[in-house]
Amino acid sequence: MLRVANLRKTFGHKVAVQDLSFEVRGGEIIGLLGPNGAGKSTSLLCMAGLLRPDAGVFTWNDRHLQADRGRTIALIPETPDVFTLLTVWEHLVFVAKSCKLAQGWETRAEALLERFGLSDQRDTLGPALSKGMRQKTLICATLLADAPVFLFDEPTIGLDPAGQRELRETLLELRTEGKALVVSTHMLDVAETLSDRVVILKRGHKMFFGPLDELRSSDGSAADLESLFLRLTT
Amino acid sequence: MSDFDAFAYLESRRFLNSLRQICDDRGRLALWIVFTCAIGFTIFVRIVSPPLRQPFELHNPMATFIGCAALALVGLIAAIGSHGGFLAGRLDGSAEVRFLATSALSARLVGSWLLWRHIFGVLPRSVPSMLIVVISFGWGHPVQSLLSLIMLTMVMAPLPLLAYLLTRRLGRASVLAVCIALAFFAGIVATSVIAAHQPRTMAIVEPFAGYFESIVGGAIIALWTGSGAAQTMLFVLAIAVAILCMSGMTDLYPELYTSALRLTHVRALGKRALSAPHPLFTQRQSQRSTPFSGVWVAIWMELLNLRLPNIRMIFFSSFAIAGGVGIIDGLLTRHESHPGGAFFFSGFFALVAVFQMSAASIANTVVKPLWWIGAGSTFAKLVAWTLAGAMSVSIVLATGVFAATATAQLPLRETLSCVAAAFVLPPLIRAVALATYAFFPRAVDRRGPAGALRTLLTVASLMPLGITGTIAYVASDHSLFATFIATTLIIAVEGSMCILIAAHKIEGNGAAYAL
Repeated sequence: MLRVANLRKTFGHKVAVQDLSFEVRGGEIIGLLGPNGAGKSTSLLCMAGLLRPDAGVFTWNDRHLQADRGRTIALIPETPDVFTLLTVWEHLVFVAKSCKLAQGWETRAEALLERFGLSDQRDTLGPALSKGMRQKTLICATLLADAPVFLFDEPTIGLDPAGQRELRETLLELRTEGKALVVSTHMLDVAETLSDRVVILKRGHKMFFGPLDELRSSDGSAADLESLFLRLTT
Repeated sequence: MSDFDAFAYLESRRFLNSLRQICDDRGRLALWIVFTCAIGFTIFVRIVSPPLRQPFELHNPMATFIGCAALALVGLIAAIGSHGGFLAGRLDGSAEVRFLATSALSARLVGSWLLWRHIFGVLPRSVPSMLIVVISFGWGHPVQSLLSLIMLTMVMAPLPLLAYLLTRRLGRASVLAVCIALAFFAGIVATSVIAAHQPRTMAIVEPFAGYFESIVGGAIIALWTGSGAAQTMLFVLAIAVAILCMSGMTDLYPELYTSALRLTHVRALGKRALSAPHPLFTQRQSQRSTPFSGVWVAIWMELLNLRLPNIRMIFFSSFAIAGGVGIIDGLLTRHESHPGGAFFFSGFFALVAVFQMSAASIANTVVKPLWWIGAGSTFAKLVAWTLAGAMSVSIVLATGVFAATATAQLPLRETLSCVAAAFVLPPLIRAVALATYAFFPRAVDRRGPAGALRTLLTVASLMPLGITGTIAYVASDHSLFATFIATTLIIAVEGSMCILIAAHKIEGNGAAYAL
């Protein structure tokens, strides 16, 4: 289980995330919801070790994660930047070498390319790929690295309908495999379909953490998720 | 599978793929071949032939001045580097940090690899300078000069990184204070040396004058004459800097990632002129908020850019450096004891300005739909873009020239003519750069042989200006005012022609031209 405790991050006087605590179990998808500027991406970057938090403790299966927590927690960011001078396949080879993957990774890599429709693009350089293709490349690379925790920041943006469907199926598959997943999204239908529990943020503060049913029952009305979300965040 | 295996793979693929990109384009390949052959041939000729002439003799106080100026530069670089903004210099964007953070590679090894990649990334930029020195002046042996240059790069390139790493141990305020004190003190010594031929004239440096002459001046003379001991010391210093950096390169991913994002952000900001949404759409609104309207909002956008901390820092630093160089130049000219020095300093900074401006690109502006939607012809937009972009350089250059002419105590009329000439020169260089960009629009052509060719064309384009200026100066019986009028006319004609060519090329290709 990944536990995030008392995460706090400020930029000068602006508080981006304040005392955020939640946990993700293996085989669970947490939806991270909130309006623009709520602190979703900042939280994910802090969790992945790409932003230095002011305070906060991260544990994975009761083991404290240090500065090198990126090896346990892999982030797929909203902006799919890739290496400018590597092809799709070379990205995967570099991941295999830098993550010291065991023999046989090539078969998995080939399967991932096939699954995400990247086989035809395997020898294409990063800048020549469309945004969706770059995103798929990053997803393949992260899946190949096989970290136990995955953070997805707005993963469906830039993907075509087939890609979005593929991604949803992949997320569900990863959940079945026992991975812990945190998915930040603006698309409430995606959150509703995928998430076991949700964290709702507003200006860096946690407004709700729990299953969607609990959110509905606490409200006592038969309102849809959109109405509940807007009520909490506006 | 070792950690080095991953790095070796990454670098080899990057190299091979960039080579593949060059080979895919026959024109670019031909340019690379010609460029490589020209350099190889020149080095060969230089090695097999005797020196062109005897090396310069370097004595104190000039050696002390050079050493102190270098120390002041070290202080300035370290002060700027202590902010941490230059950490991402050699990274392949934020993507690289993310991939590395997820990897199983040792953080220290990653840091060390980034350090060496940075050093070897800076080196190719220094090699052409070394070639110019070796070939033009016949100074020293090429191999010896190359080794010295590598060691100097090894000392200077990691300085910003070292300064930042020290701030993590000692605190930013103390490191910044030491760096600024070094820059300030060394600058005072350098100025006093030049101002009065010897450093004893200023009370503040008097107790240290002897040390400066023997240590700083002595070291520079030893390096100049190719002393083995001095080069060994430089090598030891380079290794010490590298070891210090490598020992501190741990837990840097957050800073590297932030720095990479900041670099991307600053690059985007620096190229966003004419991309603001409202002024181009609604002239009424722009008239309420600014005196500039239509295509001329480009100037307003440049002024707005100065509100951004990074742009403001660069502008005011350039302003201060130009003023400082101008004063030194003026002092050298006034005392007439170091005319070579005066030429060296003004020439060096003029070259830096030409190199920088010749690489100007309008790609990030024309790629935006707003550029095409905005009112005004492409020619008018390009004129505005040229003038707006050259404005800050003109101010900086004019400041330097004013400082130089005022310090040299030139008559007021001559001073004003020189300042006015400095003000109108940058728009011409930018117009020429725009025309050369129109022929070499790809980002990769801002460096390498095509970049060198663009610089050469820019320098060549200044020839009509020089010829006209000389003729006007002689014909008008040494009237600087008449020379200024004649050269300004040439600048207007040549600049307009360059912009016309660029407008024609860009119009025919649309936004795709920038991709």
